[in-house]
Amino acid sequence: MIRYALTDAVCLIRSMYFLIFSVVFSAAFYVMFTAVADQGNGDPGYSTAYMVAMAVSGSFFGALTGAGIRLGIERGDGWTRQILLTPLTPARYLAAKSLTAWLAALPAILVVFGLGTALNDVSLPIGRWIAVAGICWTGSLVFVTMGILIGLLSSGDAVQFVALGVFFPLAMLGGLWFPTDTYPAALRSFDAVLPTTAIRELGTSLALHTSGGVARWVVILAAWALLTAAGAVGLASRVTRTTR
Amino acid sequence: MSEQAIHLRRVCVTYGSRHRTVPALRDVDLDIAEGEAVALLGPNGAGKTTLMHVLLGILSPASGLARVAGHSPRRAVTAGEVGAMLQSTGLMRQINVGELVRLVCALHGSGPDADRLLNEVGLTDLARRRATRLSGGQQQRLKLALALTGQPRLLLLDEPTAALDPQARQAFWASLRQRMAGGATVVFTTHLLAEAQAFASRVVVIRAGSVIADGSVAALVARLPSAEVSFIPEKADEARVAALRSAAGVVSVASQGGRLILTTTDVDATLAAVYASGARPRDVRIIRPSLEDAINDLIDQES
Repeated sequence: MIRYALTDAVCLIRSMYFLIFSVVFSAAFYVMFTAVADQGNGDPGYSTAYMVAMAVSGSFFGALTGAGIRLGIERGDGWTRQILLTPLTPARYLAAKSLTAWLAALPAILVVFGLGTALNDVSLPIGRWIAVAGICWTGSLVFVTMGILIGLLSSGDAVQFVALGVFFPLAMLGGLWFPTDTYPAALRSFDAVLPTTAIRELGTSLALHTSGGVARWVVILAAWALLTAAGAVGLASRVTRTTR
Repeated sequence: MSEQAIHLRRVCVTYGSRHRTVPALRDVDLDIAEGEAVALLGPNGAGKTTLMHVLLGILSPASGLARVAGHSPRRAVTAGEVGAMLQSTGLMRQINVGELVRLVCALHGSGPDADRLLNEVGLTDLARRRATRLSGGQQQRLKLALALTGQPRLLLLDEPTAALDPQARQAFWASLRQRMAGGATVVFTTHLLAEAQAFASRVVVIRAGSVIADGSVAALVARLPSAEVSFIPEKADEARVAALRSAAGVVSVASQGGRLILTTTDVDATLAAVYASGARPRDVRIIRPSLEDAINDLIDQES
């Protein structure tokens, strides 16, 4: 199972789609909105907060690509059926896909954090760097379960539309790209219950050393993780079905 | 592995919803012993692929018992007892041919090394190419390599040579013969009856989800008693043709493009009658029924 996940992760890294949308876009957005055009209006914590937000955004897309999109495409291509003709059981296959997706969430976090240090002089004690990265990476588990659910719900070309249909609203309404206080009140009301907001808030409050309702965000994250994981488990039998 | 590679009893499979079901397999009984080479034949939609899916645990029977290598089908697959090639499978993206074979070898935990398998299916030179960029025939050879990984005792192959050129097809069957010599059981579907005739020791004919015939190729062909003796007569007057019509074994006599065609149940007696008739036959041809004729006849009868 580990061997499969590692090989799958290597294949994923070779995918331009993954590299561009997960790593390059997050890095480019971070550079553009902090180093090129500073949108922080003099806020000293802006480049740190935006670093966390873009790391969450990149890890979100990485996990979605690694789990949902790749799983749905493999079901559509018939690869899932092919690999299940080996001793790999459906449960181990899904576990391997989850591990791949979790690994796929990491590059964007590392690259954006590296850019924060190199370009914007974001400076944290080593222990806090590890803790913030840990929050972003652990939090991305909710994107993994969400991705697996999407990959089981849809397959073939449709899975990319479904994944993007989940990614864009959750990233935007969760304040990953733009501060939510610039949004109309109706849109702003969503961010308090989104996993994207929860991970961003947890990471930012730790990075900036501010207090910010940790328990509430942890509960929201756990609820999303449980719901999406329960949905994925409920649909797990679909893994043996193919659209071919 | 037990002596019985496959054991099916009254297996039924239905497709569709609760309100509208379509039977795909009806009360299928089938026993295949270790070491047999069995061809599953039948028209499109007969249920051959469905049967393969049951044997691989992809489909569960609505009723009946399915055992493969003494286990449930799914357990037999995960235990590495079964290797399979299916029509409805694809290949992993962004992976090289060599990496893919090595990955599947690793999943089996044992079995022949990847390089030997690649060499066996003639893909050594393409080991660094992306699997999805192979031609249809090359992909089929790669799928054979994946099916052979782990040295399975039972091979289930659904139209395995469909995309192969004649040379690759020959190499394919040579590979399988090697496996058979090592004691493997091979069950395959094909529409190329010459392949079935050449490779299978036993033929199972399926139509509309039911097994309608099961036996050796010779036994199936022997169900058709008649052969055709045809020739160009130098002398073919009415009296001679009438004499041939009443000759031993002759069922019918027809004339086509200057040839006389005699359908007979006794080729030797008919030939003797032809030469005795004084018709002075030239270009004598004997056409015995083929497996295709036997299958078509069976299917026509069942229709």
